[in-house]
Amino acid sequence: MSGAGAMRVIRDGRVMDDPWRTVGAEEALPGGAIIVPLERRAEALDSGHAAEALGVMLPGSAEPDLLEGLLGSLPLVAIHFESPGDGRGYSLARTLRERGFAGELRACGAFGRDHVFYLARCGFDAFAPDGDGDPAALLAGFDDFSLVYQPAADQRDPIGALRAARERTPAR
Amino acid sequence: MYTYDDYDQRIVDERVRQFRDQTRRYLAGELCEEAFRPLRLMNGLYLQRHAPMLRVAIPYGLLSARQLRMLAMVARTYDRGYGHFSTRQNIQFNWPELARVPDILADLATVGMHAIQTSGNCVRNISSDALAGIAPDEIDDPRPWCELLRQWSTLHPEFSYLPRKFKIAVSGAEQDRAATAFHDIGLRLVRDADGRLGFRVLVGGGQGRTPRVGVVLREFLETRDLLSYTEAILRVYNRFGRRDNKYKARIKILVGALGIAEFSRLVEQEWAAQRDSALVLTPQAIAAMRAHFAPPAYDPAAAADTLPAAGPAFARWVERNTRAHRVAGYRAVFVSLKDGRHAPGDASAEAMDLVAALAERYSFGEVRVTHDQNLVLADVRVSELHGLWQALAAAGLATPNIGLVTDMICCPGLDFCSLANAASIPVALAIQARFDDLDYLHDVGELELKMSGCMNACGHHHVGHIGILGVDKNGAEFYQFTLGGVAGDGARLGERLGPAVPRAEVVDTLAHILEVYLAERGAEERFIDTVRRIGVAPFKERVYARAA
Repeated sequence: MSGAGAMRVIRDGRVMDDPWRTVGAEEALPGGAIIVPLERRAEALDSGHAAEALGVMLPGSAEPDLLEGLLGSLPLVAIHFESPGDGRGYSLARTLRERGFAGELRACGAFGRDHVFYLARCGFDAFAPDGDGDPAALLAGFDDFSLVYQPAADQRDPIGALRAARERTPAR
Repeated sequence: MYTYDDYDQRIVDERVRQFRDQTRRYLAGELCEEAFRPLRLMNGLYLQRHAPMLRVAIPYGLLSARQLRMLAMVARTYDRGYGHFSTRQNIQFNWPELARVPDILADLATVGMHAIQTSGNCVRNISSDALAGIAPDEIDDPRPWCELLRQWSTLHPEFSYLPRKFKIAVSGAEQDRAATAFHDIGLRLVRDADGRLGFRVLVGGGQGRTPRVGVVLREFLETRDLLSYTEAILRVYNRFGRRDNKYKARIKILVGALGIAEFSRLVEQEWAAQRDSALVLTPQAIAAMRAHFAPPAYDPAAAADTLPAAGPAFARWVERNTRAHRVAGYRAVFVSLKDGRHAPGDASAEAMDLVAALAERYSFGEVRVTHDQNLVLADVRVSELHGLWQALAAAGLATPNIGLVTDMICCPGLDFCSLANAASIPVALAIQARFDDLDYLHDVGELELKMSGCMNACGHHHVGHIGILGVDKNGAEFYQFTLGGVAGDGARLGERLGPAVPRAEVVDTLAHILEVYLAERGAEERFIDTVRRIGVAPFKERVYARAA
């Protein structure tokens, strides 16, 4: 979960330099915008770190109630995927969005281009996968499907709503 | 039946494109086997003993004649001329070539078919009653609800990486013909005291190595809440289901560990937040879906039809292989895929083409796959039964054995499956060969015989009136018998008869069990009723007496 500086991240559908630095459990806390394990948030605040430059990292297994009271003030929540098959982070992400979290929701860890379509639908808007590969390789995955069947965190109209709308305005 | 519109079709086409690219990346070495595995599984592609196996979805077992012809074409072009209908109402092809699977999927897509979520740790094909929409005991047609669930679960972004696979069954009749108590979620359409339609929701049923009868999670769920409530169940499962051990990862283990009260509390809590979300099914959405399953144009004149007197063979077939229809003058016809010469559930390309043609001629162009691995033509006029029978009989598809011993369920077993411990198909064929005397079979009567080649229980042995489980004992194939299992109403697991018997003794063991039944049965008493009344002991005594 630790990372060195000058990383790349996908945000808003583009690859960019990551303005955030991810700090591990043991590392000294640097200045600037940092993402710390949730357990270290109090420590960072105590050492004078500004809340608006302090994001938190959670494993996908985390209980969403841990962030109760913080969702309005956290600028960034990062959810770490231990393995591509561990889907708990998808539910955690949707739950946080349903509870009103509006900051950056970042997927970190073990996932790839075949996962980002689903991740984005669950409310993630930033993507920083493990590995040395170019995050740009992930970009194609966001367009795997142009339609969706079910409502989710992305507010896209599901097919059922499109059908209902078409019923109301029959083809000319 | 539901026909894909341009939206559904676009999803299927995009899924083909996506899988073609995934396969290309795998074959080019850009994706390692470990990364490709979950991707191919989510599209029904297994790597089996001899070759890949492709499982194609047949949503709730419903096919058009055109789709069945396409399956025949796939069998002929890409496989060895046959397909295997599975207990989950799907079809499996045993010999496709990996590199050509994207082409198979592209061909299937032309008739609105696909392999989406036929494997993998996601919501699988929804299964249902093969007599849906026509059964006289139906409370409500389950198919519109199945299709609503199919669409909701297709490419669900939150539930594509569940702890384990997830199976949902829907039954709309008084009699449960969909084994709802043995699914992760079982839905029974019911009416409450005020006559309102809703669902009784069962959860945590399943077979495999830890068989469980599902328990009631909610006595009555309003139809409008079907999707939001199901989503709440799935979210609780996704968050809390075990992921450390795949054998303890199904929802039944979670329900057992938490207890139904605590599990229910978590679901209700989750649901409370989502109940009025965009998942609510509006009356318009329900009505629109129902319209897809409107009854075909039955001929009112059929009510005056009479069954022709055409000899005992025809009469026996009518009695055994047809079922009552809610419209006077029509019957549902079972096409037996248990002729004793082919693996139970196998159908050749020629047979599929023939059934497609017969469906068009006799049954409004629709075919159903049953969970007992047969096919059904659901809407046949009584006056046309004889013509249909002749055509089926000429092709070996009219064995009058539906519901009898030789209509057994059987998994692919050691011949194909890389999980199996023992053969099942050759044993099934040996059983069918031994019990091929129709008078004897009909005398024994209704009996569900189910066999699996390993404890994963794809052949549903736990819920067979007689179950047979293949096990490996120091490299030799042995078979464990159970008696008294029930898949439908009064769901229960079979009780072990005693030590497993070697393969060579399976047929005799079965003969001895039937012998005890014939000696002990009361008037009109079915096998399962006798087992219930006298218990396993007399059977055990007879079977194992020989050894002493």
